[in-house]
Amino acid sequence: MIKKKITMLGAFAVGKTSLVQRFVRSIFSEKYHTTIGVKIDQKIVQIDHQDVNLLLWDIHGEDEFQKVKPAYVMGSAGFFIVMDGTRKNTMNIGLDLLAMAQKVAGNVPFIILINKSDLKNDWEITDSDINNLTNKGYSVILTSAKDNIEVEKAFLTLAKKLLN
Amino acid sequence: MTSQEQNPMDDLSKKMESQGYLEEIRRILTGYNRKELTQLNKLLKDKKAFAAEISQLLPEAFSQLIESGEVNLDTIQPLVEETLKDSIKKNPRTLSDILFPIMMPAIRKAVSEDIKRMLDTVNSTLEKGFSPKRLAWRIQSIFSGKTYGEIVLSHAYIYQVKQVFLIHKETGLLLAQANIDDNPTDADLISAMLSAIKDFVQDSFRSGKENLDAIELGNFNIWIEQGPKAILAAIVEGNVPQNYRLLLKETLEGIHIDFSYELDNFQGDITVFQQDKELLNKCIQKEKKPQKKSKPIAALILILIVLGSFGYWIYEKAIEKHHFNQFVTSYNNTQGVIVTKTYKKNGQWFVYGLRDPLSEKPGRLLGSYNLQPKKVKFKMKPYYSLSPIIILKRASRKLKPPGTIILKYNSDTLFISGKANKNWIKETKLTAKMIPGIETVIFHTTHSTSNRQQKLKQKILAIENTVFSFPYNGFYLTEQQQQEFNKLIKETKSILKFNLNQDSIPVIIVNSFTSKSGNANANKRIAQERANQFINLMIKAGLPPEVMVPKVVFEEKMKKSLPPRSVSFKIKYVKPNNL
Ligand SMILES: Nc1nc2c(ncn2[C@@H]2O[C@H](COP(=O)(O)OP(=O)(O)OP(=O)(O)O)[C@@H](O)[C@H]2O)c(=O)[nH]1
Ligand SMILES: [Mg+2]
Repeated sequence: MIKKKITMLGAFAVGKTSLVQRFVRSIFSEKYHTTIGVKIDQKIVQIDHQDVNLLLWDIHGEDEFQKVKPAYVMGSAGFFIVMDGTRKNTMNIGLDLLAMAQKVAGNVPFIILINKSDLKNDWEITDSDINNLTNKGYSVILTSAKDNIEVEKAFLTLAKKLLN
Repeated sequence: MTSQEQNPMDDLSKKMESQGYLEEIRRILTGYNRKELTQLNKLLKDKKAFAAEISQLLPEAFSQLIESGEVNLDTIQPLVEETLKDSIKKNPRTLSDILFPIMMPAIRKAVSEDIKRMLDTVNSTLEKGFSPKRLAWRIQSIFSGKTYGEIVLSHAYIYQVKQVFLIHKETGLLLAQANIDDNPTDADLISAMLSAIKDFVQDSFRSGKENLDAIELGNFNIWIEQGPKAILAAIVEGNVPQNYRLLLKETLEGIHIDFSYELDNFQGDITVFQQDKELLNKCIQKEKKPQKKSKPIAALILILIVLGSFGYWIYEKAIEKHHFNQFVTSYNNTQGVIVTKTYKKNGQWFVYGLRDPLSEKPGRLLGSYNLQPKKVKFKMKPYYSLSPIIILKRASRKLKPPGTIILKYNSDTLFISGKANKNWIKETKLTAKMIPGIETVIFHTTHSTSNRQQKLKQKILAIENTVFSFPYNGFYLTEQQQQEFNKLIKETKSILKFNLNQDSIPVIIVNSFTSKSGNANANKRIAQERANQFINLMIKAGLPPEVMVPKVVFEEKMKKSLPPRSVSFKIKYVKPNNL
């Protein structure tokens, strides 16, 4: 079987753990338990009639207390940069992490997820911010781990990119 | 004509050469003879030879330069160090890749030297003692060709290598694994975790040259052997002999050599590694000691020497007590168990307390603390535990929910959600509240029609869609109608067999259609007759008369139009006393 390592990167509390849990276990919790270090989950998906085992490295969020260790990103076949639509500064942190990840993991596929789309009315990240990202050639998907919007699609799209 | 005649100068030099004159002139002019000159000439042209020559001189020249003070070592040293550091920083892997194959055999040799030295000491210390067991070992040593010390040490181990993982270093992905027994664990996850732990440790203690080589995990140890491209992790239990480390090293080296291409170009496809079934098998090992308990080698040897067998006996008891205490603590932490009292009598341990019948049996736990089941007697009284997990277990034991139902429990309340048939829901509404620990029950359920019911509905539909029409003034079935009739009888019979609800039975209403146009009364009489005739046919075919009811229906009342003079059917369930 093919196995691929995928890393979840982003500022704290943007919903990295929630996205993984939604995708792997179809569950969501309003409670916030910050991730310490790494939590690893796996899910086998079918891409083009082929089983692929995705090993999802859910890494603690970056904040002023803990920087993300580049070693965790090493060897990723692809990664997600997760941002929280309701907190604009998570976009800047996300872009910093993107630069770091590209340095460490090289030119591998990635997707930017702007999460909490169920709270669209409270978003600080605007459409023009999103346009700026897509104009740079980045793929951006707006997700909600809470309402299960585009979560499955995000993971499958990345998985598909990994195999090409 | 010869060349000599053509070039007189040539001729001259040849002559001088042959008589040694030219050589003499050269020697006078340059101080070298011909042989030396050709050698010098050759040396200058051959770069390699020249370099070799100079390299012999350089150290000498260098030390002379240093001696004379023209070159200062203190200024060179930082320069060299800086360059080296820089190169390591830029690509530490290159350097370690280069060093790995050279260093590993050397390190291995050093380690085995150490072990040999240790064995020698053990030999001399132990050979002085005597016991029947040692005598046996000594005999074994004579026959097996091993030294006595080797055998003593090998008897001191009891260990097991439970699992071995080969992990791709960069990605943390599991390449291959071997297990002592074939219980599949989440090997993929474990190896990813291990690699995360390794990343963490190496990142956090970057300054130290410490390479993470073992992790302690309660009863287990994880031995980690790292190569440039892959990691070998062995989950071990007990006192693993040091030469097992060598085996890991050798295996890993072998893999680096055999799979160097695959490791360099790894893209997530593990088939090559999986194909080699023997890859890790020799790393799965275990060794049993004739005694029951495992002890650290060092402690064993010490006690053998210092205290002799009496000390050994005390030691064994102490270990057992320690294990027993550990066991009691974790047994007491098991959901649904309360330990109230423990004591020891005549070499037997007693455990008193309360135990919910649904809590986990202590057998497995005993095993993991190396305690023999027959050494521990349980005097546990049954009780109803109110721990959520047990309550949930109890509920699902009692209610036997179908797979489509999910039970959840939270602060005295049982949540039941999903789909289930009516009867189950009805039953559960009555019984659920009586389960100890459950105060309220909240339902989020929908009814499901059972498979049987589904089938029954289909059959009824088929029957009710069947129509027989007859010619004016005639009552007979065409060949095709006869086939349809047979089918109708078969379906009807199977419906009658089907006892859906104890308190109601099916009735087949045979509708005979006619029109009010013309003589309505006559029409009705003919229709009635047709229904009766049809029922007769059905009785002849084996249906019980009491379940069939004739009925005349005027077409004018119908919503959809049917052919005139036709018969159709309706199935109704009625309570017997309504008949
Ligand atoms: N409304 C809404 N809330 C969300 C969504 N995803 C996550 N949350 C909430 O956001 C909080 C943080 O979610 P986590 O998934 O723990 O965030 P994280 O990125 O893993 O956080 P760290 O591990 O601390 O870096 C939790 O309270 C979640 O319930 C979403 O799509 N919509
Ligand atoms: Mg998290």
